[in-house]
Amino acid sequence: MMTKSLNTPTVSLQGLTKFYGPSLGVEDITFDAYPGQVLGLLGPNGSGKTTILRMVLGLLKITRGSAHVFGIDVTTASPHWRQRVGYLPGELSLYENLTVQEYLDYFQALRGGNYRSRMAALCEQLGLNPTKDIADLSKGTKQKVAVVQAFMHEPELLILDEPTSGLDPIIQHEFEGIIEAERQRGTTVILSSHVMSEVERLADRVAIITKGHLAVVQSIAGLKERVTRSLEMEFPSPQDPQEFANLDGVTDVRTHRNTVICQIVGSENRLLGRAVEMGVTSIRTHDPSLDDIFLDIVENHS
Amino acid sequence: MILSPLLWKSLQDKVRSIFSWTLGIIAIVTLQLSVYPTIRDSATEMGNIADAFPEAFQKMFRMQDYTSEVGYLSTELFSAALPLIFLAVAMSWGARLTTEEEDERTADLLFTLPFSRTHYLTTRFAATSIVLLIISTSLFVTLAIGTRLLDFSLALTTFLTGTWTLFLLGVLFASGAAFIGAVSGRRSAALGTAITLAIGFFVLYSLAPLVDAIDATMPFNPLQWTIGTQPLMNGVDWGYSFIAVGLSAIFVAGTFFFFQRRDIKA
Repeated sequence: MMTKSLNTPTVSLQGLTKFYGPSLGVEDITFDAYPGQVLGLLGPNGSGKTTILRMVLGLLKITRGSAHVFGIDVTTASPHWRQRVGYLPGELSLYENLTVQEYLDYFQALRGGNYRSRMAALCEQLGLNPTKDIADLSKGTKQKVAVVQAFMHEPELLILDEPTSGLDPIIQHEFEGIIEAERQRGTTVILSSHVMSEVERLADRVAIITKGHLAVVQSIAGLKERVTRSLEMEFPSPQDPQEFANLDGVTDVRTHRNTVICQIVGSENRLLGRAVEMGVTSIRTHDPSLDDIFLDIVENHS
Repeated sequence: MILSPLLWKSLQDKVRSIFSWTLGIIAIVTLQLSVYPTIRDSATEMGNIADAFPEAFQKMFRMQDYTSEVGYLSTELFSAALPLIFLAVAMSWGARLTTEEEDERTADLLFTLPFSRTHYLTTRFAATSIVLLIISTSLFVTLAIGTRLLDFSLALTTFLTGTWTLFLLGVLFASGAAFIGAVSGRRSAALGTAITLAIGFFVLYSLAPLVDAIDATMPFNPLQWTIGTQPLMNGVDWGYSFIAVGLSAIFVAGTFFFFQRRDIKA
């Protein structure tokens, strides 16, 4: 079904810039998103995440730079490429005069296909009653309708802006399962979210946007290496702190009896190698959460 | 076909409104036609009454030859009531044409589907044209049947001319409102500007026979190009019709141009 090589980016942004008149939306955003991967887009409110997604989808005109999807320049191509895209907007509004089924049928007709079985399966999975009037639905249930709409045609690229806002925890869990299945299928997913734990569970890589600029785009493991972590190591006997202090990335060493506590930035390999040489008996790491990393990066960029 | 669901939905959403306007036109025309035999039968008295109106009033409502069939229909239907209905329908459809999805905040999902904004506008212009055609046809058919039943001697081409003029007025203001919506992205701006202009043109058109300075502006007034040509009496004024069609075409082209190039509001 997926024909693209895993190494060819589905989405490729080069110096993507948006100004609203004189005021900056986002500037010089460059990153790629690959098939079979989830790219998490993180950033404080108003940082420009939605602006980036809306430019990729052609809703906003690009001031400078370029956005390619499936290798196609989104500013010049005919809109047929969007047949292969599913989108869930952050600010959701549905046609209130329709039922869920009528709404989904309308989108099916506009896409020009038949997705009835997939539609029914997704409704079932999310506990959505298609006969209900949209006007009578809660915010969370409307969000489910939008999820079905975005996934029903089995797109190769999913662009999800705050997808779980309004969903209860059980459905959030169900939703994460659907995303995971999509990733397995080879779908490219760009997921903008405020829920750090969700991004941490789902994303292969994370792009952090602050004040309209790309602070970093990296794998979660790579991001964790960027911030200071603490390693607590037990040895059979007291150790000389100098054995560790000069190693790459070690910023602080404290000892207490047989315990050595190192603060480290970057790769832990050298430190762990030395610890093994010294006969370490146990190691405890205090891994930073994505939350800590996010705050660290945002604060360093402000 | 991607066009047809869009077209179908935009008509289906407003089917009650279309039905109401159509019924309104049929009711007004039927009522006015049914009164005419009384006026015809007492032409002298009615002529005197009409002549007794202040001259300014007679001029404002173009009450020439009030008791004749064509004079009566021009005054009672084609000078104010029908043009106002056509303007109302045209401006509301025109303004919605370029702003509705953004106003309802449904644009983000719709405009990320695999069709272009050109396709979208084409269907919405088609829907607006269909609505104007529906009310125009209802008007023509009501006039044609009503006047046959009440023994009017007017030819059907007279009503065709009158209906064409109102259709043209509708097309002009619908495309104008759509154009303002395409530039501004706001329905309130599109509708507000179009209504203000329409009222302004209407006031100037009404006062023109009384004030020479205003009369001099009539060649630039869309109401003069359409109902001001007294279509029931004089037939189609092809020169003014050409100007109205030309300006509508410019508005439509401008609508496509600006709607393509602006950001869709979230």
